[in-house]
Amino acid sequence: MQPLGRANTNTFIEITDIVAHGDLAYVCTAVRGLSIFDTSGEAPALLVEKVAPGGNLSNSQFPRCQHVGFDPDTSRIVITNRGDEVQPNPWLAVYDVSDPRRPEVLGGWSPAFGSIEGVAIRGSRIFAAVHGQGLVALELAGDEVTETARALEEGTDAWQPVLRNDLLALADGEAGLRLYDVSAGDPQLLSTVALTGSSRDVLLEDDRAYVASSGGIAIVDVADPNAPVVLGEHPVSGSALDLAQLGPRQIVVAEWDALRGYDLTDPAEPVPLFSETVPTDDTFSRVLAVGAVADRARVFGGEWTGLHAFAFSPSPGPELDLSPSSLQFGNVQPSDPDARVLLVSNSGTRPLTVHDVTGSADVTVDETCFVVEPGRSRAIEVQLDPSSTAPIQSSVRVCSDDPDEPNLEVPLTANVSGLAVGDPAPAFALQDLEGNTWTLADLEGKVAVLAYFATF
Amino acid sequence: MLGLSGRGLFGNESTSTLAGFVDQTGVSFPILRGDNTYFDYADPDGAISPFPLDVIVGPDGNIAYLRREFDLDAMVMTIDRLLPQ
Repeated sequence: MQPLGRANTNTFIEITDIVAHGDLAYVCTAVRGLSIFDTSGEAPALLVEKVAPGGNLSNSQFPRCQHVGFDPDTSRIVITNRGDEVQPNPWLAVYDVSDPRRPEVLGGWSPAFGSIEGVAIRGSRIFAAVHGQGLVALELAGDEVTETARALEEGTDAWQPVLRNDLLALADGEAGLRLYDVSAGDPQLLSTVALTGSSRDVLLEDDRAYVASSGGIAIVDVADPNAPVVLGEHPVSGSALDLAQLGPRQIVVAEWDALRGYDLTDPAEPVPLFSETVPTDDTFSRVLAVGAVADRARVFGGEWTGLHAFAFSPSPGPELDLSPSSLQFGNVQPSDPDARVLLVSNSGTRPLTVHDVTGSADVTVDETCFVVEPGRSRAIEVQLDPSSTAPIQSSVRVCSDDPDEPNLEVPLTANVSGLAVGDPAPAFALQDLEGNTWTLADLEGKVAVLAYFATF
Repeated sequence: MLGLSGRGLFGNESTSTLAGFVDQTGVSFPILRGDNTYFDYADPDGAISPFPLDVIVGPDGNIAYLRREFDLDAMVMTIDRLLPQ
């Protein structure tokens, strides 16, 4: 894919869901509520942000949005929030977005139970996935949203519903895929398909459902929704979080570490189309959400700090990928060189020719010209031999015949301030959830993996 | 493996929230809870997030891996190098 640009956000907003339609993208963020972008140009342009109902439903200081559903026939959207310490009650709100610069709230709803995740809307009918419980049907009448029916399956982790005619498909966590008849007011469960992992998102295309789960992607024949058939299940490189349709039998998956496209014409043999790491100003990228507009060949990836636009080319070709995304050397002394491995991969469908690999004067690489077959990688050694102990912030550049991104760079750092590889790890003493105290000294002689994070 | 969690965005996150995280994700490694918040570590504009951060400490107590972007390949390579063959 060809990167087109990034929206004008460089702060932590955490994009969690994207619906792209026509020249607009409706984007949920965990920090700034719903944002709407004009995507007619190359870089998405922000039209409005912090859209949230306020009042009793949401915290106006920290508007949050987790999922969005869209009905193109009525220009209505629904946004949801699952409820947390910032906004204690889960809620959903319906908007008229006929004028995308001025969304008009039509109604809202906050249940006394559960945690709302994904949502679908058609006209005045709304279907919400209630995490931990199941599916709720709602109706917008006047300015009121009222519950009309529940199809709750106790203990399930409903994530995302999607509608096609009278069929509703629900990505239902550990339960897999559930299919409902929603021709009447009360959703009728037709079938349940057990799938590998926890199902999180679903698409419907003709007689097929595509499901994203912690186990990868699944292709299910739903021509007879009373007796669906699993056509294929395939692990993916990352963790499949969100799906969008690229074209007939082609999907793009937000896989946490990258956007990856697949041709699923043969459900037994998915063909990788691309693997696109979302570029950031920072040293990391977390792709949580994806949207696509097939007839414009546009893909939109949402990560923690921005919305990125790409042009998708369905034609086959080589695709250059580099791993790791940065080369960190820690402290390196003059005349005592150190080396790191850089993995050059081809996630395309044709052989990739690398013409050159270059770095700064104190960097040497063991290979500069080679060919990588589709689906294969070449490990090259990057050696750093600095002339002083001054901090180094440079890069290694790889030049290839990738038609979209022929030249990619990986940042290289060494001798930077703060803790670095090779330094003694600082001691700590902290309690776990059971009240047991852990110290680093307890782990002496072992290999310890420490994963620092925060839940919001 | 240890998970080390800060106290959310605003420092009012409860232990039960973390317990819910453990239930939902099924993680089996111990989760240690610190008293600092996201904003204790983020830059003033929030433009650079301090999380997630992965650290691998070798048997000698020295840092063998330190990175804010999750890079499974690099982590596996580091662990393989550190573990006795």
